[in-house]
Amino acid sequence: MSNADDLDLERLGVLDPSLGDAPPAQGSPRYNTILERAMTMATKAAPQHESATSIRRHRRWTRWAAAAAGIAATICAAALLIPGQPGSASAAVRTAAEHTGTVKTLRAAMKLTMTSTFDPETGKPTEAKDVSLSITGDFCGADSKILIGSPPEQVSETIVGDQRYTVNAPGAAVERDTVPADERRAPFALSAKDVVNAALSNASVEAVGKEIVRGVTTTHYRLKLSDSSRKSLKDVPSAERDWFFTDSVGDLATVDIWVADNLIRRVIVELADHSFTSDIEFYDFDAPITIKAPAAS
Amino acid sequence: MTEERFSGFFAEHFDDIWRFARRRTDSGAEADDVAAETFAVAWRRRNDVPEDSARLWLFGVARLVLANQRREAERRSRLRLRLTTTSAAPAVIDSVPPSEQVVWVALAALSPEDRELLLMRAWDGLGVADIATILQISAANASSRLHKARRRLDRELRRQDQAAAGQVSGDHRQERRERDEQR
Repeated sequence: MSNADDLDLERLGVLDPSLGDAPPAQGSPRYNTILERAMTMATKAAPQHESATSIRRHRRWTRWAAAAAGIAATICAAALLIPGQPGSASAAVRTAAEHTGTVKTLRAAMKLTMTSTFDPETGKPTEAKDVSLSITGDFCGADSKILIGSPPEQVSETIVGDQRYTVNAPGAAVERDTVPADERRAPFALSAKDVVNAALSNASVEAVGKEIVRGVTTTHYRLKLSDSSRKSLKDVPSAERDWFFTDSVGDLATVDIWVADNLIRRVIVELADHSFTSDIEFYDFDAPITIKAPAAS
Repeated sequence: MTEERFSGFFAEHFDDIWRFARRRTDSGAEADDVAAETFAVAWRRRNDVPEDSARLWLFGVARLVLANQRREAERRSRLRLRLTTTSAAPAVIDSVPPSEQVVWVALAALSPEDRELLLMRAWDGLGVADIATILQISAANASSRLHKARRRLDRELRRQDQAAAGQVSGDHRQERRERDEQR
């Protein structure tokens, strides 16, 4: 390393913002508050530090949507590894997962319910309460368009390539930015394939019964994940792991899957501590869906 | 890990994590938030924290927490680090001491990946092996990328230094013209 390099780093060093701002002293009220927050904060669904603006609230919803889609994908992938004989419940789910994994386009309707332990307006910790949210999404490869909530507070987020277009309310201006490299997600099918390779086969599945989903007669299955499958799912590369919301996968106990025509039709996931539930219906498989950037208003 | 042991773990690493957060946020309050969320993850996953590399593991968690905030942070016009993520904003530049302006502008001209590597080295004092651990890449890869980032920083600093020198030279010429006119 040359002297010039060292000098360059020295020039960077003096910019260090922490040089003029020391951390709270141990035992100080501020220090104790941070410790207490760390040990009481729920971190599964969203960062707790977001501000009061609706934009930020909607951003959190967007992450819920991604999380829900990821959980569903994880379930499909995990189901692929369920041991079982041809004709068994596990084989039926496995076949459906394989077919779902090859779908190029689809739509999804999600209802998310979570127990929030912070006030979404202030970002401050508060009493636990259930919050629900409806989301619809169109998916085509790695591109997507999701509508979060309902008018007049509906937010849309469209991803086309590496560009993200956000409209924070119907009729509002389109905000465009480049999706940061560490937030980009790989195409669903590729992600599912790699997750399958990462997962273990120690899960089990049982048939619950026949039920109707969006007018289609389906078979309802209940899947129990194993510790080893959850652990392996966490080792998936981040671009693919982002689909799978692995922190929450680690807390999954059982998931419910509805299958018809060799396709996954509905998934309900509930974390073991009941703090997060997603109910996702998949439809319009391989429909002619094209994701386009929204026109500037 | 019991609550008591976690309190000790928190005390051992709090300063490092808080500073790591403070270097990448606009205020101590925001660093408090990032530190709290980072240790919240550690508390929830306390049985998964590697004993021999807990500090680097926490840095990795803090980095992800910060990444989640990035889209929000980019909207905060007063954020100093905005200089490093967008084109130069004169109103913000003006609040920075002149001696630091060229460095900020040079930093802003680099890619986010280069900036992250360089600031981990310059601000956090991390070695190549530690950076590789946090970024989950090989040490050889980290070394190569850091080397290239330093080359690009050096090139950009030279460019900014020359531009600043030209500006000073131009200012001197303007002052001379004004003096001549007064005579």
